[in-house]
Amino acid sequence: MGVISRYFTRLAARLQGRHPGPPAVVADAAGLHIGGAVVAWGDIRRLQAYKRDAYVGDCLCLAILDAGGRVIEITESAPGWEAAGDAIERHLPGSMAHAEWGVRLIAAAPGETIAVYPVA
Amino acid sequence: MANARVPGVLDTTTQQHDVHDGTMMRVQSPLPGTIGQPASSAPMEVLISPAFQNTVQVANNLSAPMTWDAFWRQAYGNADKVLQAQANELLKRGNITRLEYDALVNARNDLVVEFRKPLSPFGRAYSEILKPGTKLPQPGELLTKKGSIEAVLESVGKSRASVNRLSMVFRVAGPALVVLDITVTTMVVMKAPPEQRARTAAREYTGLGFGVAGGAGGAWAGCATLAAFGSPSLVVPIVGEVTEGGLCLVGGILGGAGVGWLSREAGKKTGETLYDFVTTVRWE
Repeated sequence: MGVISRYFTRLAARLQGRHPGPPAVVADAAGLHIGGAVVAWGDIRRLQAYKRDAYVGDCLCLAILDAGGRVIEITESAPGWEAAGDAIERHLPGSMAHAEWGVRLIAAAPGETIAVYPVA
Repeated sequence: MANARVPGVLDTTTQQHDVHDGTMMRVQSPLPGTIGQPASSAPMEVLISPAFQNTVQVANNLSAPMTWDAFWRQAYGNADKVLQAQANELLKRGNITRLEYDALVNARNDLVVEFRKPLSPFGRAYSEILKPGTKLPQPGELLTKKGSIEAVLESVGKSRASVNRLSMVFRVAGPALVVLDITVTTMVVMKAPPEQRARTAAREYTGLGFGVAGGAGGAWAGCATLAAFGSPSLVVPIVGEVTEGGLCLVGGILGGAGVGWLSREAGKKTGETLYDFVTTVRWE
């Protein structure tokens, strides 16, 4: 498929309201599966929650730093976001309770971030 | 006595007139009027250059929908402060239950949805690009490696600051442009000869309406057209909400200005045609 037809496919998707969303997040005993990537629980070094500006509204996000130095961002729009939050609380001892960091995130001022793991 | 003469007037006539003391000259007084200019002259002429008129019109076509959205952004910010206060109360109390958390999240999600409903098509598209609203998984699309958490957090702050600035500009300049556009349009109508004034009004005010509507549609079309270029396999090889959002914004400005101008011209023609039809047709 050429560049032009790929462009028109994306344009048609946008005009029909089928804007591509973020990859699904699945949590299991092995770790977090984000799209095609897997982050093992033992490899998670840091989790930081924050809000991205979305013009009218905000987007709740979680940045994951793994042992290899990769930073992966998941957002509340990703399928599995809530379940991933619950799984983090279960699988990462010492992390902040999901309900607490969720409420802290809603209470946060613009630009403020919440250390989910390890808790500051 | 030598050189003596009889007292009298010094001019050549010796005839005397009997004028009462205190009497001023009896001539017609001028009409009252402004100093330095005859009272019967024409009123002050105001000149509007076509370049100025076009600049105001193009700017207003483009900015009117964006100004509307900027005020909704501000309104959302105020409503969000109430939610923040509620969340802070929960944090102060501690021991937050799952039920309370879910209720707060649902209230916040409803707030976002409700505040996006009245947005212009451009505002809705821009917000959806910055925060994807649909949930169609596209593996790898937004999975980005950004170097460090600090870099991510820094980009978040920068993005908010730039959108805030843009929003502020539209909130201040937008209403001023609307007033200026209406004023200039009214002046163009008032300058027309009396027999042409109604027709000119139909042309100019219809053009104004079409221009603003076209600007809103054009901003949305420009945003969609340019934002679709942001893909790893297309022209701009960087993905993410910032890149797509930036392309959407540039596309929105270009589309709003271009389509808004074309729509205003089409609106002027439509206004004239409608006026001619309404005033020449015989209603029986």
